[in-house]
Amino acid sequence: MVKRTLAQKLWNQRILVAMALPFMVWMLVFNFAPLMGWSMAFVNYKPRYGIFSSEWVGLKYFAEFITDNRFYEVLRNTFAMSGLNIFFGTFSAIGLAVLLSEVRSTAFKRTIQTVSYLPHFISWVVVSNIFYTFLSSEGLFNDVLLRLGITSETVSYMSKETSFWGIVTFSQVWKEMGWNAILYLAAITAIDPQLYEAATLDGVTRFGKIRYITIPCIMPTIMMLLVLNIGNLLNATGFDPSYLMGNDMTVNYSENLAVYAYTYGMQMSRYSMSTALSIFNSMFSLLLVWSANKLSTRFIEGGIL
Amino acid sequence: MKRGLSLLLALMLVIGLALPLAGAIAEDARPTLTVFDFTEELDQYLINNATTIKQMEDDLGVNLEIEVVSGMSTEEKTSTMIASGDYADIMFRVDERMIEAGALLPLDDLLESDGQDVLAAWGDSINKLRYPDDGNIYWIGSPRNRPEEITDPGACLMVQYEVLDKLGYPTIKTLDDVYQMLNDYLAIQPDLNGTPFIPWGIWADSWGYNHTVNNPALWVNGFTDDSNAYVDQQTYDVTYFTATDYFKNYVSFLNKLYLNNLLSENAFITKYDEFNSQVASGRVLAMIYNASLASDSEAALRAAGMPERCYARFPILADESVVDRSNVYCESYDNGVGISTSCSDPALAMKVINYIASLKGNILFNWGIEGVHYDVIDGKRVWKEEVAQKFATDPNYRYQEGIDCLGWWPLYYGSMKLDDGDYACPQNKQAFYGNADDWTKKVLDAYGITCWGDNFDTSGTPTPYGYGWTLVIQAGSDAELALTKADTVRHTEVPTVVMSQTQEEFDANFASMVDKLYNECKINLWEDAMKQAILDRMEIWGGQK
Amino acid sequence: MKGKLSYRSPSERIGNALLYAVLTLLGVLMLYPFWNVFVLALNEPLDTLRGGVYLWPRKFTLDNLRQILQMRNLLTAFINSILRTVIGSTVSVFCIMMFSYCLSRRDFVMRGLLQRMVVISMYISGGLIPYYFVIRNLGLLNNFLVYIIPFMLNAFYVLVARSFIDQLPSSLRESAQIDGANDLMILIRIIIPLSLPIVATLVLFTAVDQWNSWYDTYIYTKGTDLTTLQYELVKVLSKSTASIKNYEDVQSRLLSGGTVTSTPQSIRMAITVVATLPILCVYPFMQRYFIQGLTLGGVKG
Repeated sequence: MVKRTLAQKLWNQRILVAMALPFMVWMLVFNFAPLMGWSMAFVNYKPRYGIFSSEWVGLKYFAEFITDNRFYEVLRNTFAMSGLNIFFGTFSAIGLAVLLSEVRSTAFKRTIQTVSYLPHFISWVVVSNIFYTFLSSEGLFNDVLLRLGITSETVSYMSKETSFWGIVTFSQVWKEMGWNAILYLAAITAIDPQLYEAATLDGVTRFGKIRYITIPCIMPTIMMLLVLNIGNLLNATGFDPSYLMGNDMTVNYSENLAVYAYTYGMQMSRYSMSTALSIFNSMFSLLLVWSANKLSTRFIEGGIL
Repeated sequence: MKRGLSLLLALMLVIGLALPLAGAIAEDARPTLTVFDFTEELDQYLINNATTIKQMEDDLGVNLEIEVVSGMSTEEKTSTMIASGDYADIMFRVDERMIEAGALLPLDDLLESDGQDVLAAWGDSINKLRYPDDGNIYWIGSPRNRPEEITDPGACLMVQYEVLDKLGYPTIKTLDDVYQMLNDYLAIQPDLNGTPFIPWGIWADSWGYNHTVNNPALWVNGFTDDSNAYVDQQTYDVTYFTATDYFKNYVSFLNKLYLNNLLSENAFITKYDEFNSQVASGRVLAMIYNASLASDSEAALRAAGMPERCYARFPILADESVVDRSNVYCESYDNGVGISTSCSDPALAMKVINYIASLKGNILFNWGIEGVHYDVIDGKRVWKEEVAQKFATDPNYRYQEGIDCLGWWPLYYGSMKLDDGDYACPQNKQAFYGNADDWTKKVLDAYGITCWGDNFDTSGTPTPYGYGWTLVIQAGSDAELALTKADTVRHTEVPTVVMSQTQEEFDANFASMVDKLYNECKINLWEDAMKQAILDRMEIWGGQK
Repeated sequence: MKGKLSYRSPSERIGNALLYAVLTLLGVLMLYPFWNVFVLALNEPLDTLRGGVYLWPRKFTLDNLRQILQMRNLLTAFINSILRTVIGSTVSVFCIMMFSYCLSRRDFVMRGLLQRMVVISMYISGGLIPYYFVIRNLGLLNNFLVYIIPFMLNAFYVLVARSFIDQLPSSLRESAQIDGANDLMILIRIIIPLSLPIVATLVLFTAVDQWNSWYDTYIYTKGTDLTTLQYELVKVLSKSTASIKNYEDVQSRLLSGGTVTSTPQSIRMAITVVATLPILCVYPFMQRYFIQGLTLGGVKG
């Protein structure tokens, strides 16, 4: 192979380069240029003076949240809620997609699929209302449990710290399962039908087809989404579910990073603090995604990314 | 499909070209002022074309472009505005943040030259608008420097008509009376058709906590609305209210209710919507709350045929020796209308503000145009029948006309009287009894009053520094941080204190909460900052700066 | 496609029954809350306040919907929303497909660099104010293009699309190249037609993103000519006390002549319905791209 200089290679692939270059510029402008704003975290930013005239405080804000005990509690909550969310969310979405793909009746399949993503469109305000009503002492859940004799007295689930993680995970899975399944469903659609035909001729059971064809074929998609989601661990459970589903009695378990950043950052007009937390968030997420990718090289050659 | 799309695009192109053209033709040679209004009640389209706004524009020979910045995330919109320096000429509902951002012009000189009506209306109270740091006036608030007759109080004890009726209209004055009343009533009627009552109503999520847990402790001890602060009236030392014995005594009242099944264990997780539902279903027997916040629920009760479950309003005291000051008006202001530094014609902007604050403006924006909206009968203004009808039934009418909808504008509201001797606002005392429904009349008669305001004394002693909650702590300061932390602590700890089972537990929980406040949250920083703010404010109001 | 087993074994029958049962249960679980929202939207506000309305409107009314449809600038908002959804989505999908095609070419010189840039961009953010300045300096404030250009790429969608394209056999591309096609033609003539499921997915996702987006209308426009449907709806929602931040805010309103009114729950529900209905109508058209290929004899491309 003749060694080519970079310039020559670029010229050889000039059409590709032409196709990709505008987007690279786009990313530089919209994703990377705003990063200059990170300097806000190192000054006591007052909008009046702009970033460069505000007083330099160095790592003051970082020190503030690193030494805050509450911060670690909040991190713990975030990991727990997001982790549960990703774990159950992924499995349920894949499960739903597989189940749907097994259905023969088109009408039934379309109906269920449409219905399944409806919760995605309901805002968290409404969803939290629904769950509060459902799980309250006079709500349906307690009612059913009492009648079935499983419990002997009503329990106010929303006020119990220990049940919060379970409730919020359930609500998130319920809300996003159908929507997340769309991607997996699209992946399943792309599987070559001939594989299934061949399997049928070989006498493979339905279950076997799922196990040996469907899942392996969409594995790259699954792995990639998983890696990306792990990178998103700090943000997977956003502001809304934590703030709206949580309340004074569960706050020690419900407050996550997004709420913390809002309370001590934006709400108090402390832009510098918000930015400092945002930097922490970004760095940590990148670390996570890099690690997850390294881990995935053990399953798929070359990693996901 | 393709043809439909290109047709749509063509249509949009035409509209897109036509609109600005149309605007250009309609515009006359009037100077234009841009206006930001930071409220969400106004509908931008309606208000720009409102009758009264048009009237003002004609009278002054100016064109106003009003942009309504909605209530959601104003924080973010404001920050982008400040960062980029793109301000409108006139801005409503601005506060110290805008001043700190350097967005507003000092108004003293402009008031001298073009703001005669403003000065006349405000008199000495104008000093209360001064910014403590440099003594300048930056914004004009809604004046409340005249005596007001209260028709319906704000903060008060609310008790269902039905409860009072069944118990023969007892006198309810103190917390003990309340406790007795609840027990007596439940003995007669234990539940509402099978659904249990909620004897004492509380919702403690975010700002509901202030209204239903913190502030009642203020009212029963005879304080005015200093919100988080207990201020010693001699030395002006500030103690975080939650840490005081006054608050402790009130919480022990809640504890007593809890131990006797009069306060639900769910009270502290109730959110706003759920609370409104509870009230609207007629299950909440009594509460200390702000009556205007319950108006929607009361309307629902009446619509559902349960007018006997609406509420009577009383003042409430810890014991007989306390003097009620819950509705004493302490004049202080926390926001108003300002002129921005990027305004091209500040004198004209001041003329607009002056117009609004004048007698003419007050009548225009509260009542409307004579002959069109109201008539003068026997020297008093009265809305026309059909106008009053429309106000009651059509929610958009007030915005269309621009009447009685401009909150935060420097107008007089409520039962205050204007310079011509007549009321500023159509809703006043005289109308109350006549408009009340039968049950309300029955209860009012039983207590010998014509409106709930009669129960309350508004002429009591205000504090020399106004309301404590309007005091400003510097944004981003350590004091503010301490307050935020303390707020979190009280939200989590007070429920525990209220639900203590024994006196020892109660004392221990309360002590541990106080300990956290001072050691973890450093609330003393806030206390010191508040005291300084009070002293600064009193100095400015004295006109010494 | 005939020739399959013409009878079902008992285990398969049970499997089927179980399948249908589970999916039906799931369907009900998902549907019921949305049905409840729909019901509440058709219920009188004051009555809804009292609670207890579940399966059927207790006091039926069309007033809530009427109130929303009477909003003044609904037509402009609607047109803007449609335009931005159609144009924005088309532009986005095309850009995403183009870019991910470039990334899927393992031999592409810039691949490594661009790939890293894409992934990093997913997790970093400079904050609102710097982004605002970028928009401002590009002249996109109060400009319709602010709905299109910032939406052109989405890192997550790019990666997903790339992952799909990766699975297409490279022989197709290679043989096309031998025939003299350049990359652009390969993209348009071969890749995209073969990637219909992912294209359909992207169309759906980007369309929903565009349709639901209101924050950019709020921050970057004056909210008049360029207003969108979602923004108008959220404005109504924001009258709700959910927008009140703290106690001082409430007191400030009560004492300055403002009001503390909550958007009735019924209106909020009606808004959810109005905001969602268009998507629900469009989706079934997209659905066939997911369904095809799964049923017997589905043809790819």
